[in-house]
Amino acid sequence: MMEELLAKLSDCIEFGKINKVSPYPPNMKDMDGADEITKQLLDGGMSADDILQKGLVIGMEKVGVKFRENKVFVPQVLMSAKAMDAAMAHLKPIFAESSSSRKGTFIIGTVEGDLHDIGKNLVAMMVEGNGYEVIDLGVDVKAEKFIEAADAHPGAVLALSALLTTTMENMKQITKAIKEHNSAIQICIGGAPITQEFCDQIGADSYNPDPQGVVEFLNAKSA
Amino acid sequence: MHHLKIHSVGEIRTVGFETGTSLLEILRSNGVQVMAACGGNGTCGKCKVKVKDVGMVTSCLYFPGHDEEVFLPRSLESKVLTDQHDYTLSIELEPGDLIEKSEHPVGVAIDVGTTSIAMYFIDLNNGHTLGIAGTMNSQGQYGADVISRINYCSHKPDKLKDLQAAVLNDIRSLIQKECESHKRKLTDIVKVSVAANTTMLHMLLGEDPTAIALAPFTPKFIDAKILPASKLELGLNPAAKVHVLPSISAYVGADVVAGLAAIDPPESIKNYLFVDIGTNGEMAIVTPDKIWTCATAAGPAFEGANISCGMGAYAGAISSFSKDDVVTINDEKAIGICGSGLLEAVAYLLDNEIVSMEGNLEEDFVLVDANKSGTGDAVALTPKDIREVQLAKSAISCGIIALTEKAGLSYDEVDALFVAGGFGNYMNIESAIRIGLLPQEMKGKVIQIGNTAGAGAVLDVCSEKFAKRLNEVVKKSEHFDLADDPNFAMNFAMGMYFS
Repeated sequence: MMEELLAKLSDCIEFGKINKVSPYPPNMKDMDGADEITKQLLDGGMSADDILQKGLVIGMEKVGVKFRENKVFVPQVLMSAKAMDAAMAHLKPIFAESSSSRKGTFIIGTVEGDLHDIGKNLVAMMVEGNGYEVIDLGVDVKAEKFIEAADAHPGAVLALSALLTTTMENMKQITKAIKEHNSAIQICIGGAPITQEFCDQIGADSYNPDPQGVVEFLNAKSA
Repeated sequence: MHHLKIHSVGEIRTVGFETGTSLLEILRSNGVQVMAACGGNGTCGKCKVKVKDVGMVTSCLYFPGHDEEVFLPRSLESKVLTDQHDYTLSIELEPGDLIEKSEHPVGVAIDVGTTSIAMYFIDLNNGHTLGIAGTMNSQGQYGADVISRINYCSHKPDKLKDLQAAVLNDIRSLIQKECESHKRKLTDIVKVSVAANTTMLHMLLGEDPTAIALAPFTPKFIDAKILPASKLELGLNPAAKVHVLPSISAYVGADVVAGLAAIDPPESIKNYLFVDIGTNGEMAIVTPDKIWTCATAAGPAFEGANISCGMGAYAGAISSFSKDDVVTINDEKAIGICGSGLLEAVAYLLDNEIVSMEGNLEEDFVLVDANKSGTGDAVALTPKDIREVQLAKSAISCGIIALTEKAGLSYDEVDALFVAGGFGNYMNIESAIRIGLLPQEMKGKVIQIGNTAGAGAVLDVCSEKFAKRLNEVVKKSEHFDLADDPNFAMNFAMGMYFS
């Protein structure tokens, strides 16, 4: 019974079913969504950790792979993220009491001068959905703010996003400032104009062309 | 006098001509607009038409000597020309005192686009257009879009000089060629009016454009300027002045202002949308007392970039697609697909449920087989190409929805949607509506109006009074940032679906 519910929860994340009243996706109309099922699992005595790892993470991983393979696109991922949010609303208070359950901390922001956040948000949601604590610094983020957040969360991985070729220059400066402050801080970069070559050139630690790649980088680190 | 029989889609007519006139000139003097990016210099090959018993000819280099029959590729061009005339302001010739500086005063109107430059050569004694010329913007060698060009010269004065020199050289050589072909002297040119996007204006005047690309996007100038032409070293009449038309914001430039000021719809059209689709979709909604403007990053999908087989509208590009009929520019073997073809191909894939409403395409869809293409490889659309189209069309449609909401109007209350710009001219409106680029509700109210920026620049050259109209547009306009709307991300994502 509980196994079945977990599988259903994973489906809700994969297909973006937020709650019972959500009309999306049409073929899951009137069925329980991530909101209801998470609550049922908690009521049934399952730990928040198991719900996250055996339900939500599995669903989100499928979304990440399908997105990479062009089988789903931004709107579906956004709906999946919304379903994830609905489930996390129940789990977050429990995690706040015991910090053991998260795989690590991930700090993300769009670099100074750049206001684009859709790509950054997709990465944040996907990483959170895979069991990490995510701190989102928003857009137009200066080097000092990244450094401040990194200092407050030792061991956290930083992620810098840029959509414009113009703001890539800022990404380079911010990476330099962070590394000068503390060369041990790990930095992921991403965004439409970013390449592996650019990543190597500016001395960042990881470049990934899609959110699932970031998750895999983090998983490899925390494994 | 010989006769030329002109076949265009669904229409045949006969016109007279004298020997010694190029086919391009004969067609143009009879109201047929033929693409000639090089201005009829025999270099771009875009003006090709089919002559009976001869085959494809470059019309600017072909001088018919006897009665001939010619077949035009499509009739769309001439329709756009008529619409342009019907909905564009006519104004009395009042070019100003400068015309006294030459016996044969000439005004030059320039639309500096990111990709191409259009120039209109105007006889200021009578307001007649002596010639229209065009060329690629040779700044292209420093980057295809404004952001990469800004990046190239950001905080680097010498690089900014490269960009300024590139565009000034383009303008100089266009002016020189036009002077030669119309037997005018450079010193006959007494007035120049320039419409362009905000970035192009900065580069033309050698102003640092860096701030345009960084939040909070504050350009160095947006106001109108009048400067001595000698400042730009164009070699014109010593008294000549250059009028730089006003802009609204970093991404809504003088090209849009000129376009909005040039449109003069009939009484029946009170509220209307204006959309210029390029790499940036610039758009506005005009109501009797207010204009709202916004810009949206449509991306260059419809200009051929980011699409695996994408290309500009050059020879060999698929420009129209249906199952039984693939049309390429100049009827050459297909080597890629341009924006108008892409639109029709995606509409076809949707109609035949090959692409799902979510935008899923199972595998590459072959438009032209390898053995029939001009490259030896199949011309195909990939699943990722469809994603690019989804991004672009959602950006435009979100802009249109947001503008209509800002103005507090429903589509019923919007009387027309003017589509300007190069791609806008050639796109199939039905396909544009099918894929959701333009709203279904505006069906029957879409008007393709051509290069309104160029039309506005011409009006400015012809009349000192047009500046007032430009200022009214700026004063009436309020710019808003789509991203400021908290629902934008969600609307943008959901707008990616097809219906």
